[in-house]
Amino acid sequence: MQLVDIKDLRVSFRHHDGVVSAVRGVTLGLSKGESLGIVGESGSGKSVTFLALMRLLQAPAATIEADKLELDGSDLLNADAKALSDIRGSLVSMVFQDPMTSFDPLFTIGYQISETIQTHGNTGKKAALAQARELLAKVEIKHPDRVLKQYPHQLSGGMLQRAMIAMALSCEPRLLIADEPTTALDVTVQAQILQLITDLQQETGMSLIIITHDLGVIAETVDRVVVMYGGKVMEIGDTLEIFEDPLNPYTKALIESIPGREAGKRKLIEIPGSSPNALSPPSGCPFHPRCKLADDKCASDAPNLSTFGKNRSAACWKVVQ
Amino acid sequence: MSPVLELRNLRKSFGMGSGFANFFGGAPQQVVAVDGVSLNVMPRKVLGLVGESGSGKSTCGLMAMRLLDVTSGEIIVNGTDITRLEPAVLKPLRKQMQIVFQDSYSSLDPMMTLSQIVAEPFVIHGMYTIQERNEIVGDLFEKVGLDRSYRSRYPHELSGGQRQRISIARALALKPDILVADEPTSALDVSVKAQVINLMHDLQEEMGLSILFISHELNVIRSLADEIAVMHNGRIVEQAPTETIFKDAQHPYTKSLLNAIPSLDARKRVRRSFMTAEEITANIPKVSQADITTTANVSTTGPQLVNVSEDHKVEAIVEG
Amino acid sequence: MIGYVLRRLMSICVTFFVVSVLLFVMMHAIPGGPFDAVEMPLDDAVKAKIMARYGLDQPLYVQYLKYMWGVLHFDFGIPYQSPGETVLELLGRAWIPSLVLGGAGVLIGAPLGIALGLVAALHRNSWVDYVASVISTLGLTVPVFVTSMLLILVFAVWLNWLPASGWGEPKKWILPIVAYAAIPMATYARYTRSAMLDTLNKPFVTVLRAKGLPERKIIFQHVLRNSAIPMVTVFLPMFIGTATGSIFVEAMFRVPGLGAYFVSSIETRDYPLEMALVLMITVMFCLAYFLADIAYALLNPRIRLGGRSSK
Repeated sequence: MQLVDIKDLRVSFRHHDGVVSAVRGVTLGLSKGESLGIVGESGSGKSVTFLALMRLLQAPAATIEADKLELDGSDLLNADAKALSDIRGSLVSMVFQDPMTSFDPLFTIGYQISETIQTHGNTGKKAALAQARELLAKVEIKHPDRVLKQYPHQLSGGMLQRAMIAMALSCEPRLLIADEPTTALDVTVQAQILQLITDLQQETGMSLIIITHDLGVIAETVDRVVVMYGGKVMEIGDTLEIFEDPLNPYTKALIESIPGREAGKRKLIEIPGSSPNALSPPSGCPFHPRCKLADDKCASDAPNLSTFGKNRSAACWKVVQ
Repeated sequence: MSPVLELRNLRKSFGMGSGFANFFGGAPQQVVAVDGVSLNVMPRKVLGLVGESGSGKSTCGLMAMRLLDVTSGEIIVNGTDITRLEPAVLKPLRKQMQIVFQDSYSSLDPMMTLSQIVAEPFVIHGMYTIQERNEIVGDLFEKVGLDRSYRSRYPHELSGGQRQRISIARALALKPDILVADEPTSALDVSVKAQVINLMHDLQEEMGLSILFISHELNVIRSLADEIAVMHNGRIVEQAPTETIFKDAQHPYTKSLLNAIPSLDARKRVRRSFMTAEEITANIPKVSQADITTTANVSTTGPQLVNVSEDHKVEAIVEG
Repeated sequence: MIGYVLRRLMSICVTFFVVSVLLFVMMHAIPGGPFDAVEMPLDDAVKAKIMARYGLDQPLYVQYLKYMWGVLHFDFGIPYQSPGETVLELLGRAWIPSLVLGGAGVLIGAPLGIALGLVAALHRNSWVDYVASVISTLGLTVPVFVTSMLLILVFAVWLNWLPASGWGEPKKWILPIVAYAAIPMATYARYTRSAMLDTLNKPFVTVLRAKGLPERKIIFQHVLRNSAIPMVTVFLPMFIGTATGSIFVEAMFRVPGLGAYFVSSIETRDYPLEMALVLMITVMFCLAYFLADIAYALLNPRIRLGGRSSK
């Protein structure tokens, strides 16, 4: 049984100008112990997909529909508030992009970590704080006792992100979802945090989902990749295969447009046009206005995800077996 | 050949705390953002200024544009020292240097149409008739790859990449000799980054522009810059032609930046080791007077920027 | 922290003196004097003697200095309109009803308003929110003398439950206090609602939910505390400001408070009383802002502890 099972997820937001369809029929799955990368640009729907999974989007502004939205066999679509509170933080944890705004500025780090521990168990305050200290040490924070007593504004971005990871792992979740965990950090810190996350994943055997726009992050950390664009899934496959033999033209173009892959001052292969307008997405395949291979069929009919091999699928009319 | 832009020993310090606070005791804290930076940008060349947050790179860019006061040092544009010029004298000289910022959304006036934005430099400097301005603005739109029909649109109607093109069009209106680009692609999606980088490529060749490209993204700089200067804690720690930096970096900080770039080869997943700040300081290269090609001040303790070869500078400790 | 407190106190002193000078000059700039009554015109010689007695014939700066000297000794002079007592005695007598009226009004209105605002924020865009908004808008826009008249009409005339005016016994206090409480209630409701909504939209609230904290704990432990900071900095001055009572309510219900004197002292050019009244309010406001600043510093760890210390 899959740990995460999402079938035909649709998420839309009420906007004063109309309805924004952020996720338009996403199907994907994750097995136990696996690491999955979700790559996409802004407006691809990658973050919204998992915020919807965790039911962190607020109705009435957001409407969530799906054929299946399951975590470890339990349905999340119709789960009530209590069931959701129980799952969040203990079965599945999330790490967010900007650590500076992710902590309550009025409470110490120690308080906020031990709060999570106490919410999901019968641990007393002292014991929870001791566990928090251990966790801080585990994420390679050098002076855990001092950090426990500090407030968020007193720490740097890198340290805060480590603390957030510690907080997310505090109840030994089976799945960790990291939404752009390194984007707001300095370059040298980014690499360290990514390594920390992969180390911890291997150590605990938990499943990992990393949401990012950075293909470099994908190449370095995950086993499998889901490529999203315009609210839909474009391609799924093992990391190696995706990079060596991308099927979907969007994936191909994305990889080719990464700057600095080759030496020397040169022009890059660019993708013309810009991301789709979320209020009125293009008909058919969301990438067709920018795709070199697009034809009339691409513009009118949206391709489904078809299988092209073991663990390999792509949504494109132009992919040949 | 003399440089288009020359920064000589630029220093910038910020005093923290209000004057009132200082009245009641407590020494005013000083934060030194830029600690003696010297740079030359040659005609028709792109110099990439790389560093992480807090390195002082953006501060340098702002000072070069005289958008921020200089604590000490000189800024020389096309041979003229503009460091302490009066605003009225400086104004016509500003035509020679323009800037593009990271956040296109907040650097464009939301109440002005796109053509008004791009034409504003002409209004400020009293150039051309209205007819001429319309013509030139139309040409500029074309040059940056935007359809002329966009002229009466507003910034919020555009995507990030398109707004950045408008920023560039506006910067180029006065045909500057040097363009300072402060993280122009950092806020853009991957598929759009390439567009903007290619645009800057083309414009640089076509207009003979010099660019001071400030960024933390080494890989972006690699495809655009002729030379790279690496900044750390307000100082330049290494400077060399682009490929020399990538293939033969000498300073530990440069090496740690390169180390942090993820490789796209999924086959080669290596566990990396990272240097701490202390380790970086401890590993600063030590050279002797014989190794370097510029005369260094051997009596000064502490690291200084020296030439290890003709075009390669590294901050090192000089011994004997 | 000590430095912060000292700096705030210094600025209060400066404000006090600036206000006193401005006020003194403005008062004397209004044409006419306290003894220029048209009904019973005084003989010039007599007027000159009275003016001399009150020191009004001296140059302005001398008058000012003499007055401030007195103030520093807590001597605020004698009110021209009631020379039988000192200004201090008059204030002491008249302030109490105003304080009771204003104080009770705020003490009742504030909690009600905060509760209303909380409920509105937590049920945003629902009918509850709508009703709460209507109530608070009415509280702010309906003039207080209209409310007073309505209350008198309904409760004193039609239902005859409560007396229409006077101040002697507690029964007489009810209507004026209710009339007065509407404004603080409305203002507090609006501020509370917007402070709460601001906090609820912050990213860390999503993170708290992602941690699995029950919604109740999130609101009462985290959101409320974060909203309290902007609320406190606004509420304390409001509180003290409104505790001075209301001229209109006092007039409508014949409450013998300070209200009447605010107007009469300007009309009759009763300089000592005028100065004392305005200076009193100045000090109260300064104190209120001072306390709010202290509260803000205590509640906000950023101010309390300063900035970054670890890297």
